[in-house]
Formats: sequence, structure tokens, C-alpha cells
Amino acid sequence: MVAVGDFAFELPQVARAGMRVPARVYADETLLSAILEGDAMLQLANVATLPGVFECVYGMPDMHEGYGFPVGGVAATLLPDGVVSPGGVGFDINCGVRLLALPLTQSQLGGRLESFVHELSRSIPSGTGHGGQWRLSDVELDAVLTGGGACLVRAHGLGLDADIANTESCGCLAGADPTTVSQRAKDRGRNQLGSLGAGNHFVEVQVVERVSDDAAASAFGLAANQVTVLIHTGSRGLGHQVCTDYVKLMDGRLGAYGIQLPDRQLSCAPASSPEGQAYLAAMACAANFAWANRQRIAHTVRQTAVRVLGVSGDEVRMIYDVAHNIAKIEEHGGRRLCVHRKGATRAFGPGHAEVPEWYRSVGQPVFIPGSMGTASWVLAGEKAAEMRSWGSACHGAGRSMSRHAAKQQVTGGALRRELEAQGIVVRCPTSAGLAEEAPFAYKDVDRVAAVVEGAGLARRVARLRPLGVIKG
Amino acid sequence: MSTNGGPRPTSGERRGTATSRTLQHVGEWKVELRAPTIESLFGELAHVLAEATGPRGSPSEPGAWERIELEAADCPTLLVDWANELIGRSEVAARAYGAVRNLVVEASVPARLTAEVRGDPVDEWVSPVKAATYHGVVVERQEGEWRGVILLDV
Repeated sequence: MVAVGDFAFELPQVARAGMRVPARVYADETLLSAILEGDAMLQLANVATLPGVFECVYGMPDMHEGYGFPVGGVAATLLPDGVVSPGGVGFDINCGVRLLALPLTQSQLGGRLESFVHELSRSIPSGTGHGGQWRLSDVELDAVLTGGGACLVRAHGLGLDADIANTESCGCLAGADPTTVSQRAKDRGRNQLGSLGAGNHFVEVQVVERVSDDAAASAFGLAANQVTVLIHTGSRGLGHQVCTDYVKLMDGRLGAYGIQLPDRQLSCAPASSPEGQAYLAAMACAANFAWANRQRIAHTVRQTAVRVLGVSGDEVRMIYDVAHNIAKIEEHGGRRLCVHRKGATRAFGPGHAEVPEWYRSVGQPVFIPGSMGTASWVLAGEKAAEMRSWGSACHGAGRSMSRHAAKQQVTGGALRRELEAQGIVVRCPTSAGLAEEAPFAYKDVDRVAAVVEGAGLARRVARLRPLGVIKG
Repeated sequence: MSTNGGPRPTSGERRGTATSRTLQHVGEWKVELRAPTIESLFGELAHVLAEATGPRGSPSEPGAWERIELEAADCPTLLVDWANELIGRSEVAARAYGAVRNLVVEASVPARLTAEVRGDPVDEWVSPVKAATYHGVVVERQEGEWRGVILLDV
């Protein structure tokens, strides 16, 4: 690894046979040594072998070992014939984060925090196989797959028009074709709309602890001491099955396209091929399902805030919704690229046409959730990110310890008591699930956010401290 | 050593001693399986997945036996396909498919599997498993027993 600037280290293309481009990681010395502990760097180098990969592949400061792509990896392929890789998106297609701002300060929320968190936990189903409260018919499901979050708002009244405008890609990827989604994928997702899922998914009630950039915070509508709600979930079983189906399909077609890979989970096909086109259409369906899922949960949060806190639903304002497992067709430097973000967030800077007009002077909102006992950050995308990382920043603090190891170090009960001693209200369906997400199993989110800023990818706007956590 | 291991039946009949344990992986769930026969290796994986799904009471409403036939390029691919078949089936039916009978695995090229599986109701869903991956999948014969390694996305 060679230092190539502040907070940037590069593995040259010649470092390994098969690499078509260099692999660059944004980190400081501490984060770099954590990244180098596992196979994450090897995996990023593997990504650099993909046919059609363009210019450079990037590792975000929270990068850690995954399967195929590392988590926190960004790679662009040159269209029309560069490949698209379902593994470069991951199983939880359009897993992402949505931030809502409540018209309350922490002191105004006061003693109602516990009842608010409790009612949220009762209203939002969690657990991998747990369904939502709505079993979609074939017609309804297809409408969601093609219409995304907007379908819920416009056809079912589950939200505000402003929610759509404040969602990446307005909550709907073009080109979604439900006929490319298998029956099993549809059946897995059919009753899961409005549910969290398991693992690291959560709904968190937070307070804006401090503001670092007054102008951007003001543009985003955030102020010190304001209460916020962060929603983290994705496309549930539907997305998992879409990825499963297309990894298998493309794995079986590698020979036909003359593609050799160092890791089968990188299986891919030219984006212009029938398999590539079908995957992009199915992935768009799953991405739209995920946006609809977060929209449905956001609607539940609003209803709960109205019922428990006595606020008006219109006053519960959506700041933004960003995807962090997705492949998108984007223009960069006049070239049409397929940008894979696997555990990475789009971070377009000021002036970009895809940033909502009301945020365009400061840049796109970017969210970096930390662990449930520490903090999360709101950042604003920087123009330089478009040159340095295909307009991307990181998506979280990044795990530093396995779930298994975390459970060996703390019990769910002990962790719950520890969090409650900090004043954090916790609701989690299983004790083991809570222990797996222990704060010590994650990297230091403050360090990660500082490196993102230092690397010029996004700048810090506000630090959010958790008040209540509903774990999936 | 064995977190999910120990002798257990994969069907109405005991197929031998199979064990499983979690291997180190920072983000996902990496499982090592060991078994005296390839059938019991595959059966053990079904058991691991069913255990992860959540606690099951006595099946007052056991499901019907469902037939599965799979064919894959090789044995490691077949193990991943088997896992994904059970994961998908389980989530759609909201049942845990730990009961397996008449399991036959042909470790040939292509590799083939036939089995009957039964889904039992789950009291409380807790499974974090989304899918099985091809990353680092292993099925091999080692020192007189079968060994498998599979990485599950959680």
C-alpha cells in the first residue's frame, strides 16, 4: 500500500496479477490497520479484476471483509459492455437509511421517550422472516416494484409528496420489470412491506447533540437538541432472493462470456447482455421495494409520533433517504458508468443536478450510522467526491468484531443494562441479537466521519446521539 | 468446539454423527460442517438453518413432506443451492425445514440431490440468515469424513 495523499492509500495495479485498475482506500493509519487485518483488501483487489472496471476501485473508511466485494467497496464499470455484478450490490439490495426530523427538542420529548420507543417497537415488525401488516396481491406488489416509494404515497396515501422529493432517485429506479423477478422472490417479499428485518437493521430515536456546519444543518432543517428518527432497512426477502437468483444465473454463464474470476461470489455479466439487463431490471424492482419499505415504516413512525407525542404528521419532516447497496447508471466525466456501491453511500456535492434543489447549495445529505451506544453522523456530500470515489462516502462505522465474538464478550441482558444506564431505551426481539450489535463490535464512528471529511468525500454537519433503539 | 453440533437425526432415522461450528468472519456467519457421509453433511446444514430460524414447539401442525430435486455443477455449488433452497422455502412458508428424509446426494459432476423436507412451525422468528454465498464454499473428503464450509449472509 502506498500513501497517495491525505487519508488515501493505494494498491497499484501491478501489485497482483489480474488487476485491471488500482485499488484505493480512504483511511487513516488506525483504520487502515483494521482494514488490513481481514481479507477486505484482497477482496477489493479482486474487484479490480472485473471486466470493464474503470479507472480505480475504492474502499471507504469503514471497509471490512465481506464476500466477493468487501463491505464498503465502490467500483464503476464502463458501459455498455462493462459488467454488472449482483455480488457488488449484495443480497440486501438497496439497504439504506432514512432520517426523519421531529418538531421537538429532547426536553420537549421528556418522559414520553419510553412510550414512543415502545409504541414504535409494537408497530414495526422485526426479524428476518417476520412479515409486515400488509399482504400484497400480485397487482399491488408489481405496482410497488415499478413505482417504489411514490406508489405508496400516491396510490395508498402512506406519506407526503415531500418524502418522495427527499429520497435518492425520488425513491424509484427506472427500468424495473417485475417479470424479471422470480416467483419465490415475490413470495418472500409479499408480506414484508413495512418490516425491519434482522441483523443490524434498526429504528433509532436520536437527538442532535451538536452541529458542525450551521449552513448545511440549516439547509437540512436540523438544529441542536432536535429529536430525529433514523430508519435502517432494505428490500427484505425479495431482494435477498433476487440476488440469489442472479448470482446463480451469472455463475453458470461465466464461461459463455469468457469471464474468469478470483471469487465466484463476484459472478457477473456484461451489463449489455441479456443476463445483465435482466439483473438490472430485477435489481431496480428490489430497490423500489426497499424504498417502499422504508416509506411504509416512515409512515408508521409519523402515525406513532402523532398518537404518542401529539405532533402533526406534516411536521415530521423527512430529511433524506440514501441507498447503500446498489448499482446505478451514472454519468461521470462524460462517461456512462455502472457504479456499484456495496456498503457505500452516494455523496454528490453542491450543484449536482440529482441533489434536491433545496439542498443543492450545500450537497447531498449523507448518513453514517454508528453503533447503538455511540452516535451517528449527518454529513454533506462534497464536489471532490465525484472525482475521488465516484461520488461516494461510507455507510456506517464498520464492524471490527464478528457477531460470534461479540456474543462471547457480552450478554444481551448485560448490554441492555449498560445502554439503559446511559439513558438509552432498548427494544430487541432477542438477547443474542442485541449482543451481536454491541458498540464495541464497531469501529469508532467519530474517527470514520473525520476521515470521510479529511479525504474530501463529505463534510460533517451534525452528530446524533441515540435515545432509543428498536433492533431488528 | 461444536456450537450447533452433536449427534442429531436428519430424518426419522439417525444418519450418524454430524457436527457444525462457527468459524471466524467479521461480518457474516461462516459455518464448518463435519459428517461421516455426504448425506449427513447436507442434513446437518438443514438442521443448522432450522435451528437458526427460531425456537420450535412440538409441531402441532407439521407440514407435509415436500420433495426437492437439485442439480449443480459440483458438490460445493450443490451445498450452496441446497442452503438457498431451504432458506427461500422457509421464509415463504414461515416454517423451519429441519426434518429431512430420503436424502440422496450424488457427489458427481454434475452433482445431484434428492430429498424430502418438512417445514415445522416456528414459535418466534429470529433467524438473521438472508442467503448462502459461493464465497469460499468447500465440500471435501478429509481423513475419512466429509467436511463443508459455507458462508451465510446475515
